[in-house]
Amino acid sequence: MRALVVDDSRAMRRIVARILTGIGYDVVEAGDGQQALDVLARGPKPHLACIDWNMPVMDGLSLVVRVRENPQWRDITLMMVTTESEHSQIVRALAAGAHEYLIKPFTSDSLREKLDLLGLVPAPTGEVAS
Amino acid sequence: MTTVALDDELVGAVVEQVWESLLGAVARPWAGPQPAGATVPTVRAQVRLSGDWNGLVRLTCDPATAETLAAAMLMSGPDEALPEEDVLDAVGEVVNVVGGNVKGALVGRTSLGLPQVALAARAALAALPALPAVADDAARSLAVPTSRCVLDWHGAPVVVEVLGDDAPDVPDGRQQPDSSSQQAKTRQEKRKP
Repeated sequence: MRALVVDDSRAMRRIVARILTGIGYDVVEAGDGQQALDVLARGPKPHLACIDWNMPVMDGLSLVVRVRENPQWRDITLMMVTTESEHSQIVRALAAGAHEYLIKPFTSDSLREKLDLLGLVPAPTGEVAS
Repeated sequence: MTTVALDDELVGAVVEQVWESLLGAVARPWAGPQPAGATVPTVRAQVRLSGDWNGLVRLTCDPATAETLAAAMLMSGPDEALPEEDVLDAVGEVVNVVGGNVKGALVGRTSLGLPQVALAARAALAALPALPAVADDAARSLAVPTSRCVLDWHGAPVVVEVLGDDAPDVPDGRQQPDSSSQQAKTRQEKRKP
């Protein structure tokens, strides 16, 4: 499975990417929403995108809106990974089309739990999905 | 707009959570002398909160401490020397997460800016245009520290402060220092290769 990690902090991208790689994802990264759109346009399409909210150039909420506008990308699962913790912000993100919301700081377990809820934990290598 | 009290207890609780989740460490209070020194090289990261409450969340430490903070955050190996850019980025993310959680405790509409990180002598930081009211002495006259906690990170102090301010608002990423002895970065200028 493939994941796109979008965060303007390289440190945070590295943290999220390490967790996702550890559970079997191939990870590509983008430093802002516009870069993420460029990555998506180039393909291949990821199954999951983990998206920070506050970024330069194009923020995460705008990215969610743009992804949802494109019918080719509607099956990408979008998860906000952000410090924006207010209920109103969570509602905005979900209304815009995000599937899940993870507030920083988070643990690797909490990210895994979110993926599990979404059914996006890859099967271990060698295991054939029925 | 009334806010919840941004006191030491609340900010300390935020810092504890960030330390545990992001750095995998317990936040221990600093028991040594209060950090000082006008010419000591200093890493300073801050993020601005704007709206019904205005101010800064700021983290200050020495460069060696910033390196070990970044190493803990990135779980880098003992033989892995992190580039300075990665160190500053990691410290910026720490203050970003602290700032975001402080913002979450506020009542009303407040937005979080992008983190700014600078490496310079303390005296030079006072003149850094991208960082309003950052000199320790100046900060006390222009921006009253609402909360200040000093943490022990492997035997060195890390200062985390929340400052309500009347300092001039500086748009994120719009100003950069013009002195070669100073380095300041905002996420605005970063581009992933």
